[in-house]
Amino acid sequence: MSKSIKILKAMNDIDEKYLLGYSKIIESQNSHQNFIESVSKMKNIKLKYVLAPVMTFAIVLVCMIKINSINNKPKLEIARDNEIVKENDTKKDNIIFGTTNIRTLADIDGKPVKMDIISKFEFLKNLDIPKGYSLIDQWAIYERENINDTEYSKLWQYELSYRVINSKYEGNPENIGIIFTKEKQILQCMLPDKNTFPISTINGQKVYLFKSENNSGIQAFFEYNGYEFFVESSRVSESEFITLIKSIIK
Amino acid sequence: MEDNQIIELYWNRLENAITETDKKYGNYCNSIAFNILQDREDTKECVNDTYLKTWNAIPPQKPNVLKLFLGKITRNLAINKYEKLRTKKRNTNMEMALEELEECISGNEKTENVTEYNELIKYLNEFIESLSIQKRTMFIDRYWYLYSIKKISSKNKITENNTKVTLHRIRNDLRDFLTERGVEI
Repeated sequence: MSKSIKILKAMNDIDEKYLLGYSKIIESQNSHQNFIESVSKMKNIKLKYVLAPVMTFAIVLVCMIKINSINNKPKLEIARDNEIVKENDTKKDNIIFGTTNIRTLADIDGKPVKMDIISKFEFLKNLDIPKGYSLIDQWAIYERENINDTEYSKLWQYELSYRVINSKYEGNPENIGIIFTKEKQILQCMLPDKNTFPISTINGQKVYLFKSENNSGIQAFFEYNGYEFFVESSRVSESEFITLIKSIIK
Repeated sequence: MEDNQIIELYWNRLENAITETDKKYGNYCNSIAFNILQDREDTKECVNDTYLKTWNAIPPQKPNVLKLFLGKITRNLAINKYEKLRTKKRNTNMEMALEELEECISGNEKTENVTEYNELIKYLNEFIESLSIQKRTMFIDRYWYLYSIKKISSKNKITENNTKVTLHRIRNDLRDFLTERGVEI
């Protein structure tokens, strides 16, 4: 393989934020340009008279946000400390969220088979799923033993999918996915690289926690009962997510 | 149709998933493949392969951003196809982009492995992060979307010469960046 093709191929796996941000940058550049042009066209109004109130408003807004964050900070810390002591006296939790660095494994190919997973595993009983979510699917995913096989005979992972029925968020609805495997890697098209993120401790277990940059999604990797777990969520609060993880790592 | 509705069609194994995908993202996939292959027939074949691969991948996959999911598959398939066709056909745009990237590579050979590949991606991410917005856009345009120098110039309202010089500087920076970190490809 040509060396330059190798770089070109590696470019396929660069962080998606650069590709997603790419269109936003173009939009913001255009909108900024349009703004400046429209202001310049208003011959009787000088730019400074438009920018002065906007800047003043921005400064006031920043000050308000800063004051608000200072007022809220101690309360949050107390709440978190209380929660830790209340939940577990012997195993102290330490929760740190990293920011998601999504990696794509687009070549994944597997065959889903519907299966009653919950009754199969003790640790899936009595899960603390947030209110409003319903179990939509339970799958076992089978893979091919070899790339040339036509049969999907190798059991790879189990998946549970929870959703809010009739969600008001059409593009990005509420969602919880619990995936676990005995294999060395979870199969998923959008998988964060866990090794680049901080390690938390929940119920004495090492957990990698991630939040997406826009705060709409939280994910976690951890090992439990000999399985590698990947739990992903959309529009679930931090505390609901941690409660769910604790209900798995009993 | 919304992306989640299209994904739902795939999950329900309904064949109009492909029609809807083509309606919404056909032009996008075609432009990515054509920038690499520069041939209508090969492009058509590549985009059809993209739909087949997507059909096989969803389920179990649930892409967060369908557009990027399709874009990456198309780009991957098109580069693979280009490699196969390379000895038979030559296309100037892709050859130029590859020759440009040769500048970023050191002379030593090393065996391929996943760790090196992941390391390369990590450093590419760090490098792209360090670029200014305009340079980043130009770099992605040229080496992800494989846009021609002419197109990038007209998008940025600068001369072709200016674009070439800027890209040349970015490549030099990338070469230094990778060399400093001991990356040899």
